[in-house]
Amino acid sequence: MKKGLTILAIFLLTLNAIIAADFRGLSWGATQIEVMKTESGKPSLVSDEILIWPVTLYGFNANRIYNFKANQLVSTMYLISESEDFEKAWLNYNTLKNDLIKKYGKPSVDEFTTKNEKLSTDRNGAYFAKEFYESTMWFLERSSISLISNFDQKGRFIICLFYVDVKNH
Amino acid sequence: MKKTVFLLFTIIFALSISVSALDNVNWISSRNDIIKYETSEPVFEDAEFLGFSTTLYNKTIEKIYIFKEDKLISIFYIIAEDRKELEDYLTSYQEINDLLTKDLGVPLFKDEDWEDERYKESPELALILGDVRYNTTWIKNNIITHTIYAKDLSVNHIIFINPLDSIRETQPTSAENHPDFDDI
Repeated sequence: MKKGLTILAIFLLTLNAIIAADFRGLSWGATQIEVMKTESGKPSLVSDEILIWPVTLYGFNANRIYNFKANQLVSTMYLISESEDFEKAWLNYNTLKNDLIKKYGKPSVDEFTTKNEKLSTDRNGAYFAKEFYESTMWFLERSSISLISNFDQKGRFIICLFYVDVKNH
Repeated sequence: MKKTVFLLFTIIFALSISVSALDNVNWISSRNDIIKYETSEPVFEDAEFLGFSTTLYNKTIEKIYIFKEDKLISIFYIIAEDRKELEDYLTSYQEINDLLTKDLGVPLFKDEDWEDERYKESPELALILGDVRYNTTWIKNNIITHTIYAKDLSVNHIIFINPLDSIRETQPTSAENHPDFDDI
């Protein structure tokens, strides 16, 4: 009986590893059709290598981008370009970052930099001065996740959240 | 000499009051605390708002205190504008910006948000049409944002004061996950 339970536990653990979800319930290697089944609405771009859906994420308008190699999902990305409510964007960004930490644990890299020396220890100040660059990364067993943010030349707050299949890169 | 030094101290003290008026806010104040603190009667009030008619930099303003569960969370200074010429709005904005800079120092952030650049050569027209919004922000003890924008051809000229903690407190208050948690 005990042996039977052990075998069942090992089977369940193995099964869990096999079907482990890497991004929104999908595993790396998913096909375009499998990805489309998880999305609602029409993609804004479809090609052999890319599928894009306009979505909202943590109060931002974002593009959810899926990248394929030989019809197998190898990476995904949220691309956010925010020019509207400056203070709200900061709140949303920090909520997103905190939730990523909650979900994936302490990041392996968490660096904030600014060109303004006076603000080198003032993350809030650097954001409001639009002299803010931040890079946060998690290296997981199957994926690497990177949250990168900075300001573009037009002063828009740009956020990229990448998920990459480590076995395909 | 003694008199001159005394006068100098008086001026510095007076200046420090003008700074503290904008940047030193007791955020644990209740509605009753504010009513006691203000020298005039509120011109309007309800559970969440207290409004006073007063002056700032010799301009008539509405000072609005906003409360949540009887705790002060935000202050607005709405600057009354009754201008004859369109460019007067931007002149007024610049005048107040200069006075705020004298009180608070160099702003951390000064921005023009253009929604439509069709009248970029004529910013005063762009302002009244709602094509552009001007913002200047200081981060001191509080976040102080000076802004001018128009909606439905009506110009709003406002100074917002919010506690620095409103930015720091970024964790959702609810124990439940954010609705987008499964998407990340």
